[in-house]
Amino acid sequence: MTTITRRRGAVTAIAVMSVVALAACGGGGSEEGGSDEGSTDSPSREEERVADVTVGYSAGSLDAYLEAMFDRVEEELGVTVTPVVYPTYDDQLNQLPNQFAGQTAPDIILWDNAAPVAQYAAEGVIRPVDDLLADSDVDLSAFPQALVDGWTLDGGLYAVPSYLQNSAMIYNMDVLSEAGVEVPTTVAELGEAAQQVKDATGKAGIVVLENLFHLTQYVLAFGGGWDYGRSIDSPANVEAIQWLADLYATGAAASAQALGATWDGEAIAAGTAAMSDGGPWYIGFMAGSAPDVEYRMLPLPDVDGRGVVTTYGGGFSINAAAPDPKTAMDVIAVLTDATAQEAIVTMEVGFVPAMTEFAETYREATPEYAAFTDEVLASGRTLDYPLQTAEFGNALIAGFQGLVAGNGSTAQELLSDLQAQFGQ
Amino acid sequence: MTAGVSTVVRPARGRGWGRRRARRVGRAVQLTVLTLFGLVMIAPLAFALYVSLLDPADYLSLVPPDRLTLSNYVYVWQHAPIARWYLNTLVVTALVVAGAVVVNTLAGYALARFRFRGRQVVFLAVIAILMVPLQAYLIPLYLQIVDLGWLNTVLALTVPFVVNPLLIFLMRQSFTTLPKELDEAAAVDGAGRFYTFLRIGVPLSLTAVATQAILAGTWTWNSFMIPVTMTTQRDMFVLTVGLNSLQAQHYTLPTVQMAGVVLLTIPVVVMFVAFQRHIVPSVASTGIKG
Amino acid sequence: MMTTGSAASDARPGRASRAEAVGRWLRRGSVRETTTAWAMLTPAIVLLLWWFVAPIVQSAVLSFQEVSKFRFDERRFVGLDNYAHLFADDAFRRSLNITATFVLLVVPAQTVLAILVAAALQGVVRGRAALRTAYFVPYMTSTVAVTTIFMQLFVRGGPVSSTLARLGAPDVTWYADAGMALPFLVIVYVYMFVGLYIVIFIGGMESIPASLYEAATMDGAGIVRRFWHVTLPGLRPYAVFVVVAGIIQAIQVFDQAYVISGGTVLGSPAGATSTLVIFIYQQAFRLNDIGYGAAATVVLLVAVIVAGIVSRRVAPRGAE
Repeated sequence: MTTITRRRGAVTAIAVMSVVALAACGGGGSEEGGSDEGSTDSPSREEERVADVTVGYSAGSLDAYLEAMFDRVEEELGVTVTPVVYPTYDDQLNQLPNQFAGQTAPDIILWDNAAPVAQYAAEGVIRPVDDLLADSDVDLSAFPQALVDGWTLDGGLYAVPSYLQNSAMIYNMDVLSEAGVEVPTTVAELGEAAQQVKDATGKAGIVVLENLFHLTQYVLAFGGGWDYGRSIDSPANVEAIQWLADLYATGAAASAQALGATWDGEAIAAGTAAMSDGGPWYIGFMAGSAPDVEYRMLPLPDVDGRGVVTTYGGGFSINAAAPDPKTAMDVIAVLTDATAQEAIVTMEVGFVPAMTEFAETYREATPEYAAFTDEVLASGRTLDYPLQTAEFGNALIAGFQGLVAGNGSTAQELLSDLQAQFGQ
Repeated sequence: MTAGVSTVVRPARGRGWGRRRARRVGRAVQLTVLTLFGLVMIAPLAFALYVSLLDPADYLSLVPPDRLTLSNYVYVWQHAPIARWYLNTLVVTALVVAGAVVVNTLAGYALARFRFRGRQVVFLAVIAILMVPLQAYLIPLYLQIVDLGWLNTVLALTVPFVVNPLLIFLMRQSFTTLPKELDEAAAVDGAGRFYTFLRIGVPLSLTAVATQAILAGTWTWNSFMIPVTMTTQRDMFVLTVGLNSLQAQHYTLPTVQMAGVVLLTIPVVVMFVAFQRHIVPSVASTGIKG
Repeated sequence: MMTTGSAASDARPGRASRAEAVGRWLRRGSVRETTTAWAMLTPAIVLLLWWFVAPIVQSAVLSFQEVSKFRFDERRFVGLDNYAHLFADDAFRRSLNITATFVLLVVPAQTVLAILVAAALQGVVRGRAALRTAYFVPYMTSTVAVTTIFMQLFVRGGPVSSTLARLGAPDVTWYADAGMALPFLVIVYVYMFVGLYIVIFIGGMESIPASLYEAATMDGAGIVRRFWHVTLPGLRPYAVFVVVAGIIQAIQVFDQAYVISGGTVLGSPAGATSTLVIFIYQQAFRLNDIGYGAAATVVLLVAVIVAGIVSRRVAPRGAE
């Protein structure tokens, strides 16, 4: 008997809940995506300082560091930071457009690099911060110019740098010596070295994680670049892509997937490949996962042997719909000040601080990073992807994979197509 | 109930012993093949368990038992509010299963046993809805949740998932196997349709109801897309989302990832085993029908 | 809510013949039936309308619009533009092809395998529960985990791929090879799902009365004939479920392909694993072209509904 009454009760409860919820929902009007919260007339409410700010970032190495920094913000400004956490950076990039659409995007967003920012800036969902800089404590000269330039679009600065990333070439010295190969200094030597590794040991000379960033490194090594879409099919770019595809054909280069790795580092650590493009993130990874492997991290070999790097990094942006941009700016100032920068090193986050002074501290503490002096970093290239970055990256990689799989196309055809589609 | 196996031993047609031995050998082979298949099926989980006990430097190599370590589990414990995530997942799963069993069973029975106008339409609509993948309407769903203010609440993770077209379909199919004479007999005895449902329909379909509970539970426990979209605070993460966040910024930690897999899967296996023991007696007790 | 069973109590002497009384009973029963049916359906229908139909309809509406990535209120009605673009899109057509191939490979494989295993399991008394749990484990394990593990097994030189290479398969990393990536996907998928269908068939087989088997044995039927004439017919509703659900779920394959493409563009390698839902997801989430992804969904839905209607005409007993 009790089963019946309980079940009937449950059914009634659900029916009632549904009706009530429907009634509540009726007023919500799910058709209109734009509700009135987060109006953008904030400048006129300058005098109101909010006590609560949301900061969005993706989980990982920065968790403990950011929590400590958020506590500092509370102490110094009296502003509470509510973290909005994404499980991975991919999730962050997936969710943000929806969140902007639903007006639930965080006030402050931490980017891992400037690549997606062009789109967000063009859409006007993040705001330029130049006007707020004057009243804040942020001193841009403390950061490498390349970094600041990377965050500047159309004359507006869209983020304040937090940590620095750069690209490099990683050499698994164990595999190289097994193949009897020296560390190459030019791209020509790089190609030869890769081939020799393959011939002598059967292992891949170069491992490539096929995404826009990694392919771009080779493009830059050949002296090319996308120039925000203006030079997609430049001869240097074509040469680079064709060169890489040719290496694939002989097995001198292989994708990370083909080597059974989820990313290039795994292949280097496992010794299934000799060389890869990478960055400072290798340091922590190799220490934990392959402490016995001897490796070296150097600028990418380029056409004339001088070496090239890309200098970019993480930065904090402000949501254009943030109710109090001034306070947001103050929060960012605390999150990127000297103490925060020093903490990146002392808390062993595994990142390089953006501020030149503390990048030096990091370099002293980390011998593997010795090759990346201030000069090298300051003269680094920036990520100059075409504006429709996601679409371009997608098309480039899909096209490259088709190229490698032997669908009959050439690098010239691919890049010309892309120029037509995404060029400006 | 050992359907499919003859319980009648045929008298020897002059070759009795040979036959019996052949049958026994056949049965042994059958059992061996089935067991091998079973081992193949659990191999990946066993592999995950093994990798989760490896030091990251030993990843993908075979090590002697003394090199096995719990460091990955310690890492998870230290870097994450895992107890809270377990709790969240349990609560969400329990709520969804409880609701699903009620709602879908009712609907399945109605579609199977009643003749009424619109039955075809409803059933076809259920199948049609089943065809649309979540990714296709996730964004409008998200906006709906936002409008209701349900972001980061248990409601967003439970209410939309109580009803499930596939489970309605399953229950309907199961209820169609019940002979109609039962309903008529009950009607003759003066029972109302709903009473017939509760006292006769459901008890005879306990296997299907239990299957439904297992499926709803497994799906909810393992679901990722919805929780990751609807929750943005660490404390509100469910296990799948939380464990996915245990990576370094630019690379995965495979051994930690496998520890996460083990932490995620073992409870489900345990629940399944526990539930199984529940079904078997109840099926046996309903006796033979027809 | 008691239906009076006896027509006699309704018949008024001299007023109605028994037939009329029975007729009245039937009609009264059927009205009550309809009410009860709808009452039982209400929770499900309310929830379905609210949480499935509403967003799906919205999505369909979006398919006729060009939606700004970040601001949903900035939409432009573009009529059938998205659809025109869709049908001219090689990638979309390719994804349809790939999905169709996938379904045709997966559904028969998993259905037949599941029936055979479930039937074989009926002959086992001890350890049946343990085996059933073992078969269900892959389904309970997270897709990411299973796919990742399989990737290790099928890497060039890995345990499974090298064994298969010796038997004539190409010596490559299966999931990174344009030709073998889809077979890899099929294997992983069937592996994960067969356990589910085994469990369902077991449930179905256990609901077949033993008396039917005894009768068949009495009539001299051997194992195969018992299977064919008792088991299979008794399993029919479950088989229908497994096939239909199998097709529906296979059409929506996503997770496994997503994991294979981790770190690189979806559909890797070279679009070989670009199934329909991967295509939709890529449009909506990676390329932020929501209207376009919605159009693909609508096409999928219409195709399925049409297929459903056609199959009912052709085989009217269909899903009944």
